[in-house]
Amino acid sequence: MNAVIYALFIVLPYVSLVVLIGGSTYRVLRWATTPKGGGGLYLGLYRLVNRAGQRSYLSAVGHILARMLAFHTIPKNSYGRDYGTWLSVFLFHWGVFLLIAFHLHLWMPWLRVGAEAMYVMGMATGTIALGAGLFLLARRVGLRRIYGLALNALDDYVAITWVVLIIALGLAMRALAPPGLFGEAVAWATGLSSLHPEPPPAFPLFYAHVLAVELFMIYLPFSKMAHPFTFPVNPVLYGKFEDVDEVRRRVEEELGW
Amino acid sequence: MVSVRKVTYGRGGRDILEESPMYGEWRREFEGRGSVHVRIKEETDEGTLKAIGVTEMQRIDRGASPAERKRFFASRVAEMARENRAFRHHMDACVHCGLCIDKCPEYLGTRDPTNSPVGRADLVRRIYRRLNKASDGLLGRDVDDKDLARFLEEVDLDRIWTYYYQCTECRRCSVYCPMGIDQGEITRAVRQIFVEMGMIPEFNARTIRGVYETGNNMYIKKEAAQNVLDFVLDDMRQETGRDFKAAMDAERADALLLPSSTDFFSNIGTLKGEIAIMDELGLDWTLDSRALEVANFGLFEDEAHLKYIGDNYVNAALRRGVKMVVFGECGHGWRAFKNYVAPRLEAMGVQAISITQLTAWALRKGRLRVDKKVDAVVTYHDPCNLARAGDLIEEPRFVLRSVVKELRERVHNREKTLCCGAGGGLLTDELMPLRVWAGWPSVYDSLRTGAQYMVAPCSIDKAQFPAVIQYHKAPIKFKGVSDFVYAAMYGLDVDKIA
Ligand code: SF4
Ligand code: SF4
Repeated sequence: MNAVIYALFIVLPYVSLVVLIGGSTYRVLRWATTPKGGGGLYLGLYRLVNRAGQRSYLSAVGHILARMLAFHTIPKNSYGRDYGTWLSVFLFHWGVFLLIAFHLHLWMPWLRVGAEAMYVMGMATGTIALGAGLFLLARRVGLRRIYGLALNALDDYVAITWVVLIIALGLAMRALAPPGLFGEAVAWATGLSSLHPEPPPAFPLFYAHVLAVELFMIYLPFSKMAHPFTFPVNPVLYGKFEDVDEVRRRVEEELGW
Repeated sequence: MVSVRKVTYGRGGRDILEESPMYGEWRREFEGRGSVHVRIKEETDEGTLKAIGVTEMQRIDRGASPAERKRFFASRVAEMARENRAFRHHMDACVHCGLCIDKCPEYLGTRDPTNSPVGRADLVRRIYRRLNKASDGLLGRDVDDKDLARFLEEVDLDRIWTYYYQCTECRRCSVYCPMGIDQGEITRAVRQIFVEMGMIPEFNARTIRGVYETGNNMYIKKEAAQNVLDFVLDDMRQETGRDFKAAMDAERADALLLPSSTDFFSNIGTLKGEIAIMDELGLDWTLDSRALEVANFGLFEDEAHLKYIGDNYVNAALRRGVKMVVFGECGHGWRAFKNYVAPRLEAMGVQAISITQLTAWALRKGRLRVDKKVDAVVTYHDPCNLARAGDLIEEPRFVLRSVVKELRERVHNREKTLCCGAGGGLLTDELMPLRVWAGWPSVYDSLRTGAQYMVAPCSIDKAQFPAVIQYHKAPIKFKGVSDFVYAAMYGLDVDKIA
């Protein structure tokens, strides 16, 4: 292993992981430890929750999960429903979730999946995610035309482009992979996790794909890509109202009804 | 800035703006230039500022140089992010998807994209990001003075002021934003900063002054209120042939009714309904001449005034030694009441409920009898602050179904409700062009149901909608909920009771 390969594929993975976990934790802690406001109130209010009928924290958790996994606010009716955007958002996010899950296979070689099944599932999911990602990128470029507002910052383009690039590189790698690549990648991955580094497969597209991921992991906590972590610290979503039936019972008792 | 994407019901329909007979007026007012010219007045006189304590809260002189004032504003934005979790979250979490834009009633009414949730937020987010260097201060240092000065040159405080007083704090954005960002909360934070700079809209400052001087927004003194009350009771006796009791400032009582001060002027029908409900339930109840109000304009301005006005309600309850406070018809006031006053009253063992809840529960238990349902088709406009901040959605519907022949739902109901266009402290004449157009989507949504009446338990709605309806020559009338309850209880004509 030459020094560059060693630095980029043995050292950098650890650095990326530390930055990803450390940085995200730091961000979440910063949000969570920011006081509500003076005197423990949000500018004078005890709560900010915006959803009527949210009477327990459990229902808040359910609502937040639904937002994160089903994106159901996007097709919510307001002069028609935006199914197109919803579908692409849904496919893109779930494509990425699934692709990440598939990669866990690298650490579970005992899980027997037929090579063909693996290939088909990976390529199909990747292609769908790539298509949805490109659609979202196009939508972003066209935002100004849709809404008349230039709201894209550099971060907005970088983030989506980067993910699309990672997926594209992954797909290309998979399509052009020499037969032994998966085995070598497993050796490299398990080597990293067991702290007994093995050299990465010597394949340019593999290098490119992995490097893009590593850099993305470092970029993530400090960009808009930290957005999934903001859900549990949004007081508009995680709050709750008191139980109105409880109030009603108290009042009825008071009135002797 | 013409309507970029048409806002229609169904494919191929006309844009909702074009559905108004006043569309020509709209084009003259907003087309090609947006709404930046509709600016709320902040030229409040010193006397009023002093009377409501703004001069004490103020942290920078109004005569300070523009550069100094901008610097103060920027430094407060940074501070706000450190001390206000919601503000910090909302500054950080936006993914710039733009999905909130065409959900904002202000955007729907003006089609000015800066007058939208993310447009408004970005005016301030740009400053926040610059101060935080994107990396949250982790990498990179804080900006140095020279950098800041150069950057602040581009910041236009007056533009921020204008657009932040075009937000009704309706929170519709927070329902539709995938991240749950509530621009209404950013607006509250930014207005807090403006108040600290001695900037508060004249209309709102004068309204708050009313509470300082008389305990209500309309400067009604006790004698005047008593006169109106006597007159109303007399009227009710004639209409129903029945005697009603309504005490003012009773030494002790079980329940305190907080009416809207406007119920003593323009919404007499609502006042009659509230009195009748309290009386029919056989409650030992009173009004408090220092708390003839439900509004809380502090919600639109700053924390100190919100608390001051909120405390006024707590004090009234303590003064009268009541076990229960019944809150009259008001939207934004209910938000402040439910989320600031009620928890404090409940901690003291005092029940805090709204008249709509009381009516619904009484009807369900058969404690209120309805003589004859009002023969009318109505539709319900969910006041923003009840639906999205007050957990009050089904009770008014239950009440209306019990007292009118037919209740028709609008397309945009419950948490999807469209704003009246004058909440958030925008109920002032100089914003009229904005008000009549931001309120139009809701009126049009109601018109499409074919109902004769639009109904809402909200005093701002009662001041705003008649103006919108008249402007657009819309064939629909507007009323409060308790008006219908009163009419139904005694079989009266709802149009004749006010
Ligand atoms: S609170 Fe209402 S008026 Fe303000 S930005 Fe959000 S949707 Fe628009
Ligand atoms: S919907 Fe939310 S995340 Fe998207 S642009 Fe608007 S405020 Fe930002």
